[in-house]
Amino acid sequence: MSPILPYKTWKGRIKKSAAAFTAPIIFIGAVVAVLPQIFRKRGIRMKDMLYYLDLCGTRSLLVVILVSGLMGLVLGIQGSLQLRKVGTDIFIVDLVGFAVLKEFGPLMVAIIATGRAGSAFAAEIGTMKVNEELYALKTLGISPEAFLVLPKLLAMLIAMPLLTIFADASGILGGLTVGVTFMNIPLDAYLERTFRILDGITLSLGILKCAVFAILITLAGCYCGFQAEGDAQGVGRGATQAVVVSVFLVIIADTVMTLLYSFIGY
Amino acid sequence: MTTPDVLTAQHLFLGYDDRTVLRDINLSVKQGEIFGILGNSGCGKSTLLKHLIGLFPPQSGTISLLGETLDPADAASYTKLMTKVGITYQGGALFGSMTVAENVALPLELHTDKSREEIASIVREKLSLVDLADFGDYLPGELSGGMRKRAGLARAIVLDPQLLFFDEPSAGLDPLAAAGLDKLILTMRELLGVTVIVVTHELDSIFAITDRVAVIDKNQKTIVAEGNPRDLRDHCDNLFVRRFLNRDGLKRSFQIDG
Repeated sequence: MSPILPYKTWKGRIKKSAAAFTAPIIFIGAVVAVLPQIFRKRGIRMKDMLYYLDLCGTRSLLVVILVSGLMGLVLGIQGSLQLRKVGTDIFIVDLVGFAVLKEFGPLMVAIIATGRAGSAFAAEIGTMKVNEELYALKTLGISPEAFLVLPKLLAMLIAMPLLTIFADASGILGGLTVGVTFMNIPLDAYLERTFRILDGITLSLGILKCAVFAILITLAGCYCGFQAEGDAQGVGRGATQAVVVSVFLVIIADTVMTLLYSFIGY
Repeated sequence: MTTPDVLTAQHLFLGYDDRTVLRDINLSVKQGEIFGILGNSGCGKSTLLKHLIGLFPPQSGTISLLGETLDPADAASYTKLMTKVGITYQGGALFGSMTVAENVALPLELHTDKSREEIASIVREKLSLVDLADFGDYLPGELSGGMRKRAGLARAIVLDPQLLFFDEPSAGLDPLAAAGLDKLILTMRELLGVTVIVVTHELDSIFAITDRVAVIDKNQKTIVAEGNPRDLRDHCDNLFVRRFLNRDGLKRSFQIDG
């Protein structure tokens, strides 16, 4: 939390580089150390958690449904153009269903959550730093990680998987609209195949992805807030950085998890 | 019988990373005193305060608060020690998501086993003391700058500390509000018997409330004078200190300089 100052010596520069490398690790360690407080009485402020649940969940629901529905629609249209060439129209169900449940549902939720929550977390913590509230926390004997990160983390871990379910349903509905209207697939045939090919495990694996994204977005947002420099521009930079870092981490995590899922046949 | 020191700092070298802001700082503050730390803008007053309350470790030297060596690395003993110390930050540093009453109640919830009713009663008492009895349900964002500072003071004194730090209490306040806050600081000492350390450059406040002051010279990066502010203004050998404490003299010199 020390102010960023020009480094005059090589020793200082090396120290700064080492600190830049170790700071995220120390931050993650501090968050892990306070995790048991979630289960303690008065361990986290439920009022704060509910506020973030509203911010990340309720207020994002409409956007998630809209964006995911449109994504399902686009996916359906693009898929239909290719599948028609080989006369396998019915496989649009598989294409849209698997793509939405395994990839686009969790990804759309993650991207919306990054824009909505990740940047807000960074801006909020950065502003608290400017207002010396982080100093106040320390001198009051409160861990900033427990007080500021845990309610956000818990809220995101509840909100994002729930949003993924809505995103999945909306995406499939988008694909169904294309299948039924443009490709003339009977509604009952589309639904029957959807329920036959998409099982609980596929849905759960997508939700698991989203839970991992929730952790990454929260940690990145909060970390960028803690690292924000002590003025309005610094807070702005922190919020921007939170979005960039979150999206980057989400894509990396998605790639790794997709590879892992492929090894177990999903 | 001599009055014990509640704060001692010996041979402190302070700074951030590889930059030294203050060097060889020695301080001792007696119980019941109102002690001012003064200096021009950017001289390191706030840096000294942040080190004295353990927010940053000194590059070298030792700090002792209430007879105990300050060691923020030992989280348990640091937290225990800080329950006896109250800090009022420049802008109040109230938590925006909590009401004023919740902010004031927070240290009691964290560090005592008092019931909700007892906590509510203490919070009402402390808010009355700072003249904010009717503002407990307000959010910090709904208060003026002066009210936020007073709410911050209520939170700082809620555990009945023995030592109270103020960082620029008058900054950003109109003269009347600043005078009101000065009066409040004097009241705190009378009512609670608390030792007060004030970081400021407001001369009116300095002469109104402080018993002793330490003056920091930005160029020398250290304390250049310590004593009663009036004595220092009238008799200090150091020209910088005399000019700093003598606003009328400073005005005259500006007029002479054209």
